[in-house]
Order: sequence, then structure tokens, then C-alpha cells
Amino acid sequence: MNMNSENVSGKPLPGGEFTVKRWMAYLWADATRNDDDAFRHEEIARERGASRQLVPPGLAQQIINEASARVADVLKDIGYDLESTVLFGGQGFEFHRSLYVDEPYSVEGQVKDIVTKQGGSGEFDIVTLEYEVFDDDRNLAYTSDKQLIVYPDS
Amino acid sequence: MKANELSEGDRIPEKTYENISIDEMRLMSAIMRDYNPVHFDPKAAERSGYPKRLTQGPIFTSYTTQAVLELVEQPYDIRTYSVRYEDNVFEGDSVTASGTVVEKQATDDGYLLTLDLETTRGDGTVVLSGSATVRVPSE
Repeated sequence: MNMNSENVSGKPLPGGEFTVKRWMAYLWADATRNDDDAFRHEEIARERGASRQLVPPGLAQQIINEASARVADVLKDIGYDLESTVLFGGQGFEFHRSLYVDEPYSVEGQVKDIVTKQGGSGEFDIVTLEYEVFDDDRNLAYTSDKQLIVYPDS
Repeated sequence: MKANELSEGDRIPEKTYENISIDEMRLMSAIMRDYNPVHFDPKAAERSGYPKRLTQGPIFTSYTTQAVLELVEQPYDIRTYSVRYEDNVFEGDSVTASGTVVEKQATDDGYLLTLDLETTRGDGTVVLSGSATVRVPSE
């Protein structure tokens, strides 16, 4: 059964806090062949004008994943059953400042909307989740939205 | 060519990542605590209908952002980016991240470039599409 967007739009998502530790930024850079050592070493980051070791931009989604609920739990909470097929459609970010290791970030989110579409395999829903991520001073660090493609009846 | 010399219609320098290794995929699974075995267990990948173990989206998303990072002075100069996954990437694949400048705006401290992004697999299949806005210095 496809979800009614009006019923769930604005539904808050579980929030939380996450701090990227040095090892995570370092190994993320390794796993993604990032050759910029500002993501591995504080002294290199400082040479580039940063205050401490930097977090790779690609890790921004993991901060949200760690601080908020898992996708499966979010969809279950909305009302999808566990047999639904879920694909990750895409994600967007808008940054308001650099991200650093050892800095706590708090995440808040909500269901933005659900749009039902017709595809070759039948009807599917595009569920959009949106998040705000704040630093310790409650300044907005970045915002993000995530699209999940859900085939409810598969 | 320096980033501030790019004009609308120009391609940004592309970055190619060859032969995505299973060790990198295992590392990413561990970092993300992503327990989906299609990323590290060949039998699970086969049962799910994949020809090989499936590369995680954050890996080739990061390849794409790294192509953009080459243009900027610091990570925060990537003001926005968005990606859409178009197809799968597997262990051993090679992918190339590239993009095109679609808009260039002068600002008080340089330029704001809007980019269309595209990442392709070795066979030419587009695996990721997206966009980004980046700040580049005037000099």
C-alpha cells in the first residue's frame, strides 16, 4: 500500500548527536583514495587554514546515519512493511561551514514528502527525508535531503 | 587551467579511479557498520543477483566530490552538492568522475561555479549524476 504524503509530511525523525573521530576521517579518506592529508592530519589541515583535522565532505551523510535512525527503521515507522524493496535514489547537501573531527554535530530531521509514481515494475514511492545538522554552538553546519525509492508491494 | 579560468561549457578535470578493490569496500563497510553482505560476501552478492560484490554508494560519491575538491581551496568551498545513483558499481570496476561548468557568477571574493556532475563506469555507463556549486578564488 502506498503511503499518503499528507499523513506523514513533517513527521519528525529520531535525532541525535555524532562526533567524527580522527580515525574515521582518516580511514574514510583511505577507503575513497582521497590523497588530501588535511583529512588525515591536523598539522596539514592547519597549513591549509583550518583549525583542526577536516572531515571529508562525503562523510557528511554518515554523520546523519550515525545520529539519526536507520533507513529501515524510518520506513517501518512511516508504515512500510519490512518486505518492501528499498533503493537509495540520491542525496543532496548544502554546507554552511567546514566540518571537523572531534566536533559534536546534532542532527534533526523530518519526512519532507512522499510522491507516488508509476514505473515499469508498477507503482513506487519516492520518500524524501530532510535533515539539519548543527554544531555545538547551535550554528547550522549543513542541511541534507535524501530520496528513498520504495516498492511497497514487492 | 586554474579553476577561476573555467568558463561556462568547460569540462572540469576528470579523475579516474581504477580497479575498485574489495579491501576498500570492506573498509567502508566497517566504517559505516553497513552489514549488508552484498558489499563483502561474494555468495551473498550472487544470491542477490549481482555479478560481483556491490560497491557502496559513498565510495563513488566520494570519488565525485574529490573531482570537485580539486577545484577549490578548502572543502567548505563546495557549497552544495547533490547526487543521484543511476546504476551499480562493482568490485574491480574503474570509474571516472567529471563535470561541466553550466554557470559562472562573479562574487565579492571570486566566482561561484555551478557544475553538472557525471560519473561513469569503465564501459561508459553513467553510474551517478548530480550537481554542485563551488566557490573559486578570483586569482
